[in-house]
Amino acid sequence: MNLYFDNCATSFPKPAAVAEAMVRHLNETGGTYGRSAYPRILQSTRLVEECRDQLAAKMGSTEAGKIILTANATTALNLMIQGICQKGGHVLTSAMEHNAIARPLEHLRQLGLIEWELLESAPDGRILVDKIASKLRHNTILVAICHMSNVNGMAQSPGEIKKAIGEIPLLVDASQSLGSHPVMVDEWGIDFLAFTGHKSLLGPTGTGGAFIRYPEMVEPLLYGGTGSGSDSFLMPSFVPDRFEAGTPNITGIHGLNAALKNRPVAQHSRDDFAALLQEVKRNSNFKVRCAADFGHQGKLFSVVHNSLSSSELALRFYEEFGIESRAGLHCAPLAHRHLGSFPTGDCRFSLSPYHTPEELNYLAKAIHDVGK
Amino acid sequence: MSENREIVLFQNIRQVIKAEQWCMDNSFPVKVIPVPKPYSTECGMCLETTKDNADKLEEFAMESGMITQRIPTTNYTNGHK
Repeated sequence: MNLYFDNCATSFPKPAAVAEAMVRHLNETGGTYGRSAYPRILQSTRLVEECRDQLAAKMGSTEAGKIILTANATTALNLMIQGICQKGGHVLTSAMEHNAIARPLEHLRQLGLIEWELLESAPDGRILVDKIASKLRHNTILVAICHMSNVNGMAQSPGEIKKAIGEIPLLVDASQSLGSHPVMVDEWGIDFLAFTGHKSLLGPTGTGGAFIRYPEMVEPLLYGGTGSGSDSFLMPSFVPDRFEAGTPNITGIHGLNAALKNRPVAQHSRDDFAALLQEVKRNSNFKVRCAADFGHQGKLFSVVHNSLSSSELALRFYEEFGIESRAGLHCAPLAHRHLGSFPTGDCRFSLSPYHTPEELNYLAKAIHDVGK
Repeated sequence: MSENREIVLFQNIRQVIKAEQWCMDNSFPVKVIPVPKPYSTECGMCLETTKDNADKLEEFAMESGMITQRIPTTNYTNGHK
């Protein structure tokens, strides 16, 4: 029985093809990215570009060349936030942010470069789109939001938000959503997107990236060798090279590419998940943190018990039921403040496509029993 | 290499790979080679093909927004020739 319910931290298990591809690269094929033209490098380079193409398809973009491969979503967010905000200005973000957005913003505020403030939100964290206009200033340079909260699974509506902010760039952190929830970069008008490979995409850790629609708006975060324009001390002006200094995680990209090509069919249905949430909500000893509208619900939720702490809950779930969950603030103090669970946090459960209906039933029963 | 062959340089590696893929899809013989020494400030690989194929390749590259540079193989001597 798969009792790992911490897939928002990192997904497990992965498709078998992920490890196979990584071992094959390490033990058999080898090769770096693009620095020469012998077959070993050529094979590896083709695969990196195939991965970029697959990522573009997954996020609904026709511009795969604007996908920058990084070590994780945090690196991608720092690249874009710090790279866009160097000249200063006003930034809007949401009440549901992870520290991957909040900390770079606060760092820039402390340097005296920017001011940042929160958009108004509904109790579940969903941005009130009709209130956005009142927050915009003449010097608002960026709106940066997470697509799906890593605390309650509520998914924002980036397309509606983009319509409300017009030409102001929209940056979306799709760390939790890309792979498990629709993401449509072109259709929604997303200007900048960060993603990770090891969560909903089911790839290995150490992979992730950014989609940068307007490269000229972003200063590089890293400077170094790119295998292009090598006679100059300046970074290339073109993408992806402009933002990809240094050898990328080629082995990890082999794994991510395999994950993209071997996505498993979900073993439980959306109705199974809805039934789980309904069952948990019936227990009056718990407050359930989830989206108010199930149509905006991603595959995670949290619970707060009326007497047990989040750490006590997680310990009991593991010791009594073997269930692995995540207690605490989930690196998202803003979200917990908004939801009323700061500083104690809550206990989070996040699903995998490999979970069966029987395993969801087991989780529901465990929550019921612990909550008595 | 014969005198009617050319190398095609691209702005970056991704463009080389996409162009090579296009050539394979359209059955144009093309060879990926290291960028010749006089032009080695560009990316580490480029394409070598016939002049006729280079014409078609250039057309594809322009339609795809790629920036290319064509050089007859007679124009350099660096061991690749």
